Amino acid sequence: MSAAEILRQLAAERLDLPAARFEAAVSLREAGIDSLAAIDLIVAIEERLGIRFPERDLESLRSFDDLAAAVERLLAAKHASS
Amino acid sequence: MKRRVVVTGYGVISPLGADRREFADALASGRSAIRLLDFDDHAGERRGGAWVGAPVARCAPTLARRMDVDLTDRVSRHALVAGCEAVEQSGLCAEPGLAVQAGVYVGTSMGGAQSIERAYGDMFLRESEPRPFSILSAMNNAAAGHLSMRFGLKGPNVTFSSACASSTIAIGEAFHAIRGGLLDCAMAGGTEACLVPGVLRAWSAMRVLARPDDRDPAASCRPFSRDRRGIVLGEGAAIFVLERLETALHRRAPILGEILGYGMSADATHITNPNVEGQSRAMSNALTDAGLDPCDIDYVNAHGTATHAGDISESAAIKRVFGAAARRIAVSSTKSVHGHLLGAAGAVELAACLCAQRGGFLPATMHLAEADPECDLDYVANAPRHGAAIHRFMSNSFAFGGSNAVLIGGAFRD
Repeated sequence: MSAAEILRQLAAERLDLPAARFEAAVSLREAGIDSLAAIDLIVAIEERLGIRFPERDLESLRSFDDLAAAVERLLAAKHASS
Repeated sequence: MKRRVVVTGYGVISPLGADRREFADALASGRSAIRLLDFDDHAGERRGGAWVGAPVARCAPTLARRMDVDLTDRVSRHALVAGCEAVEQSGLCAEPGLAVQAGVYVGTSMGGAQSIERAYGDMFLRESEPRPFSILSAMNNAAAGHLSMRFGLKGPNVTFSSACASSTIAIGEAFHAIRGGLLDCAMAGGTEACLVPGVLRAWSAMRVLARPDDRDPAASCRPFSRDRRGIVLGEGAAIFVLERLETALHRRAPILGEILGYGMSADATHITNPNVEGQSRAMSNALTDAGLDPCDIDYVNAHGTATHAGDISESAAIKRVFGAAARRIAVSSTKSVHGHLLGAAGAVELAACLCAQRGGFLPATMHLAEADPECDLDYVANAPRHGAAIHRFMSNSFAFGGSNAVLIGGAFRD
């Protein structure tokens, strides 16, 4: 499953957020994801994939694409180190 | 002239049932909800049968998202279920002007106990991070916040945590705010969800919890009885819609009863030992606040936790306040069937008073074969008394810490 697919699935599961709305939105906020929901989503991703978003990166995750790219990076790093 | 404050709706989720009807029916029949508890103690052991308690069987408020489920501890879920029932009965939200200014006054002692317990379990047993919403679900004012959000109530939003007197104080403070002209309407009550292993073990360590009655666990809580065994913990919530009489009449809301008086006191003596003088002062203060004499009261819902010191002290305090009338007044502890709901106790017991008044019966102190020789009042022993008229009632809550709070209410009379 790709990072984008996992994001879609978790957003639907945790936040009742349709994938189309999430992907089309310019920002997380526009998609209806406030700071609290963003933390919920990030923790759900971390637990599902066994990765950890560095604290300093959280501010820069502003859209679906940002999140998907960050997940890809973290997964690649995880595989490289294992 | 002081404004009058009436009850236009109330909801109850309790060990005795999912709503106020089931609660009232159980009280009218004397059915006990106390049973053996069986759960995982986090150390991988089932600790079946070690404790008795009065749990809520099922509580499932509507929560939109999976995230909201994780945000909402059982203590808030109880409050939401009871709050929905109260709001529906009162028609509060059909009056947007009234709802927007309404206050929320909630009492809870342990707050989100399950969330706290889970966080410690995650950190110290499972060596993982606490859940991201541990703080938001555990904080004591979460339930009040959820009520305000669910119903759009934008007035004062306050939470009282004075152990076992919490919700009596919450209701009393809301009553005074409305009577004093600060508010026209408030949701007020209490909620608790304390039946988790850590809380039970901590209470148990104090040596105040009742051992299960082997023959009949449902009879383990025996207030005022010579063979009392101690406290049985329970959980749940009761929420009231309190309203200024004029607005209730104007919008043709159901008027289910009236709050008449509220009194408080502190023992200022000991962190746990009850004190006759402090308890009687709270009752007298409530009578003065209501402008009533002791002989105006027909029924006292006692704090009655089934501890040796507590039962004797409360009986003596009632005699001190009521004098000769003490033997005429019916006094009962409904904790014998629903357990001690801690911060929600006062609210659930005020609901018991309303149910009894409206149903024309006196709720019983069950499992009272032989009263303690120092407890010599009419405790409505062993069976509810039907066909009794309650005009005005008193509900006592006496907390660890020495905080005493008493409410007086009654049937509404124009």
